[in-house]
Amino acid sequence: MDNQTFFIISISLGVFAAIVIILFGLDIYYLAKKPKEEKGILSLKFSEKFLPELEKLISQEIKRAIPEINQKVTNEAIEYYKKQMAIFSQEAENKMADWDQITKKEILKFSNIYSQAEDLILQAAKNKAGELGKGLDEKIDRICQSVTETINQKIAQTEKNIEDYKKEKLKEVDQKIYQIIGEVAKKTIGKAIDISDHEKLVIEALEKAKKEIF
Amino acid sequence: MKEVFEELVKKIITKEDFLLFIEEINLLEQVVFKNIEVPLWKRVKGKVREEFRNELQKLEKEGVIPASPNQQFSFFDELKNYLQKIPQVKLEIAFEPSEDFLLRIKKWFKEENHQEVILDITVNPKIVGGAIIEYQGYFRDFSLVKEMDKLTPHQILVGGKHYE
Repeated sequence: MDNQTFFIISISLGVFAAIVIILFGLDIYYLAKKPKEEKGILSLKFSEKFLPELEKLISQEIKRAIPEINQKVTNEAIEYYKKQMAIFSQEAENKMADWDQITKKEILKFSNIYSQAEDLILQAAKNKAGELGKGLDEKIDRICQSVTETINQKIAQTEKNIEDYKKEKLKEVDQKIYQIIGEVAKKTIGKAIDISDHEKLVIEALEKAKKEIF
Repeated sequence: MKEVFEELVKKIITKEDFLLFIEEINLLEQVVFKNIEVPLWKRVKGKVREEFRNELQKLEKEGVIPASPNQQFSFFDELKNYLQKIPQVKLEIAFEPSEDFLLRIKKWFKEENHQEVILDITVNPKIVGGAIIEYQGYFRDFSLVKEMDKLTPHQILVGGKHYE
């Protein structure tokens, strides 16, 4: 209920109050005009006709005012709700606009987060791949090192075997040579060389050296 | 003193004997200043050859080795110098020589050359027989293999076998 409605109701009540005051004044006037013997006793009672008339008048006034008030109130209510609807509509539009803005912002935010998440995942994947690659490199290095070590050991062992074999064969060859030399010497000096022969040959050598260097 | 040294040197035949003897003298030089109240030959028990220790005992008792540590040190130092002046003869021979044979050679040098020598022996069967001798910068090859080198290929081919 707005100010206008309140104003109408106030006017109606004011008119009704003025009527009541006039009727009350008239009643007092009639009482004052009565005979002297009655003059000494002031009766404040309303006349018997006054109350029913008053009720009737009030009833008529109320009956007359109610449709008008109803109409006014209805009109006011309609106006009020129209305004409220307009306001609501405007607010709704604003809200919708806000929502649109918020939604756009949220989408943008989500998009950013998604983009960041994508970057993070990509980075994490790259890191993981790097780690895996590094681990793989290390493993390959270890395997290579192990294989190289094994090969080197095998090579060293093979070289040692070859060296041993060579020594063994050379020893055999040497033995063969000594045997041949012995036979040649036997043919040369006419007999096999025993220890006493060796000793004799050494003393002979010393005798020869004595003449030359001692 | 020289006679004492010569007596000691008689036991040294090869270069290995010489090196061992020098090592023992170095050890004696280290212990002469320790526990001087104990005789030297007792101080070196287990550290030198027993034969050499007995020789030390004999020399100490006879007073050949002086009593004071300083004089003892000088004695061993002189002995070491004497040993280092003994000439060495390098002999490359074709067989493993016996102790007796080495003594024979040493004796030969003493009798024929009038001097003590230390023998540096190398055994090399490839020379077949005889000896390759090196003495004070001189070198002579009296090996059989050298004699065989002088043979002609025809002479080398013996019984269908070919040497070289």
